[in-house]
Amino acid sequence: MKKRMKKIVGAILAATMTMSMVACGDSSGSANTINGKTTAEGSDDSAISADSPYAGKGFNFSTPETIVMYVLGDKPTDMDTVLQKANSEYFEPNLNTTLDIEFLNWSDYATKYSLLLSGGEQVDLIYTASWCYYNDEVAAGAFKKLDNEFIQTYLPYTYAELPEEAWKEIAINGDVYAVPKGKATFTAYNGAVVRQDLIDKYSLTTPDSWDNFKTYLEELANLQSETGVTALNTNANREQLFTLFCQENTLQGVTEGYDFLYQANNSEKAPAPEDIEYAYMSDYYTDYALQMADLAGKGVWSANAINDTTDSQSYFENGTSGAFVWNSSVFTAGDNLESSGLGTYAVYDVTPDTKRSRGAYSVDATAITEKSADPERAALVLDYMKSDVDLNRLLLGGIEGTHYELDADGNRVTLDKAADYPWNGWAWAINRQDEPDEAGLDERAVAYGEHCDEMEFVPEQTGFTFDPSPVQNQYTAVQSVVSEYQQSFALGIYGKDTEKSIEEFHQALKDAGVDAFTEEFIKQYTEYKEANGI
Amino acid sequence: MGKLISRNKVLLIMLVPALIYVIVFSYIPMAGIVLAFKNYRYADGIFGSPWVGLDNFKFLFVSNKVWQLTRNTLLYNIAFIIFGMIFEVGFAIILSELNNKVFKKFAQGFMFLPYFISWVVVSTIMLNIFGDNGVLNSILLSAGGEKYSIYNNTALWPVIMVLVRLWKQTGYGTVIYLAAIAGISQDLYEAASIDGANVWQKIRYITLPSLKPTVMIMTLLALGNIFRGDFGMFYQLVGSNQLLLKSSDILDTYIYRLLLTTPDVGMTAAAGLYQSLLCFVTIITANWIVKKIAPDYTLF
Repeated sequence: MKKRMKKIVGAILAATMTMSMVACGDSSGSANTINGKTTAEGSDDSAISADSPYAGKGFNFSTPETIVMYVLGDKPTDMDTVLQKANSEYFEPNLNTTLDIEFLNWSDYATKYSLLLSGGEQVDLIYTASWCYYNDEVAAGAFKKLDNEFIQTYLPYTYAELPEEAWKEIAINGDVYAVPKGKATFTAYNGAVVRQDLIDKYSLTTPDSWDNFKTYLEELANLQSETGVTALNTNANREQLFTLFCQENTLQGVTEGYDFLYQANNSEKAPAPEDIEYAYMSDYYTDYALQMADLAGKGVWSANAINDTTDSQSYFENGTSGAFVWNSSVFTAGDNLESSGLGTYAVYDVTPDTKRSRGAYSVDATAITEKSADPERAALVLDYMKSDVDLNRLLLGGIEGTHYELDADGNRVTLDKAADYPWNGWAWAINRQDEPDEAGLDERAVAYGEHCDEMEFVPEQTGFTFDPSPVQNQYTAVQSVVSEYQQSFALGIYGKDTEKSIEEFHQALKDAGVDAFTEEFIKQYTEYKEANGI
Repeated sequence: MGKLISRNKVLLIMLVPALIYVIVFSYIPMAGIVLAFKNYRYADGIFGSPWVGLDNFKFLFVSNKVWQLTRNTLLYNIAFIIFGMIFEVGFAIILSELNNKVFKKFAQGFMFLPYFISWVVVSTIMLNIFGDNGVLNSILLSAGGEKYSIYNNTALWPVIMVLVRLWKQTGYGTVIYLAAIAGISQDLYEAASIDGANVWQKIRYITLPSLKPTVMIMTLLALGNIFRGDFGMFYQLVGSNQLLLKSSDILDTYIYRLLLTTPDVGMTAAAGLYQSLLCFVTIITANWIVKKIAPDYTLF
């Protein structure tokens, strides 16, 4: 009996083993089929509808395919319904393709992103951006290089519609590796949403300038025991005041993502190379750090904000913060505050005289991966999503009549089901210039938007991108020093030791090789400047 | 040999899953170490990417921080191992000497509980007790005292780290030692009682010597990871508070910050290899020393 039992257990173990090995062996392979089915000899439109916008253009649609696209964000509740409609009405009849959209959540996209590209899963299209590993992944060869011929052939409508500067902004050393979005917004310009009810009740200073804003915060801090509201309830995840400080001093970034600043003085002229400074080594930064230490000392935010990880937007929304500083999403925060009945809000442009640039087109883009089995088909899918107005709106805002509808002026009205598919919840990289505005937008938001439009400026060097690979080690080390100190200065935790700590910070940056990094940046910028005659 | 295999057939089959597990998840991925010496490009794959020599390691040494970090990691782990052992063995003995069964189970459960709390939650609990607006300050203020925040007191942090770690891990370790104590033959204790030994003498001359092999093995195993910090703990408790980072930055958190902004596969592999090499050297040395002193207790 005992012996038989042993035999059985042994057999089960062996069987389990074999099965797990089989399971392991099976996972590879399926993604890698023969390259370029859409380009195969001869055009074949028999599998697609005759009125497809891609019919008669010489593509081969004979094999049905599935294209997998990865985007950032949380999956909307009605995503499957919307995607099913998009597939059955658009992609399947017109491209003989099924689109599959997968989501990388905010909480873990940073860890998953690279793994996804290096792993074996099928990924044809993926969201990328200057802040979302675009340069790094291009350097690692993850994205397909899109030459002019490829773009004109496989992204024909996008090529016709997208402005030239969009392509220029996404290019690295002149080569394009992703398709930028179609509408640039003022994402890099920050304003402040404040508690109007408290301003009225305690007759606080109106925060319509940088100094008045600081006064407002200080006054509110003095009232904290009475109101229970922290003046600026913030944390270590968002650096709320630096952008505002830069706006106040008309400090403009030379290019997206590398913290090199110059004083623009509202002029569009490209800066002279010697006027460019690495933000964290500049005197401005010292000034900023001192101002922040001063605010911290006055109790504008909690002394432990540095160890807090609660989102600051939700602090404003739940009525425990007197201000929230961010881009146009401050209006969302204000609306949420009012709808929960905790107070009323007002949004102030704290630096009304400063010119502002739109966020680059490269702030949101979609790349075709190097490992895609049929990059041509993937490109066509992307092109279709971006160029067909109906399909584009379906993906952006869901089903018309269910999630949204358009009023007589062509503005969109939110319907009850919109919460299950919020407008532009994930599709920022494929939005279009003609995206409808929200109808009945709060007049405060409309006025703010108009002011932004009036004050727009486009610096001459727009389109310059930096390639950090020649100084990769120094760049990585500098980044790590910055990330070690940045939040601590932003929240003024050093108090009266701030100046001493700044010196220590500068020394650490120097040890990490900030000089070589800066030199390389200036060198590349000077070359760009000369080559473009600006 | 053939006879040996056929006689232990069942045992060998039982060993196979563990063997396969180790091969698949430990030995095969080891080939990936080559990435530490390569400039990884997706198109070329792991083995096709160009060699770059030791370039990937340079970033670790470029800011001269690596020594301070290695020291921090090492000292923290030494403190964790030593204090952890003392507390775990101590509590295991206390629990085993308790006669009240209900209280014993209750105490054991309470000690084990923190082990299941995630570090994220622990950090929030800490903030709510010791933070600026936390419980501690409320009590201090109502008692007419001054506000006090441990988050601004750098010097305290090594102690706080050790205490929090002990609070969280002791319960788990205690279970292992309790099991070892349960394995000690009762005959020994009975004989000692007849000879008139008191509780302390029994602990000193029976329990502790019997626990020696377990302590040795556990310590050797812990030594193998002495250059790997508890990332979750340090990252959650310290976050980006630079004041605390001075005394609480370890290799793992530094590398995390370093590579979060630039996800470079080669550099990550280099950092991992650096830690693994240090661990390897430590455990080989430790095992060698144990072999000289007490050859019965070595790992291999």
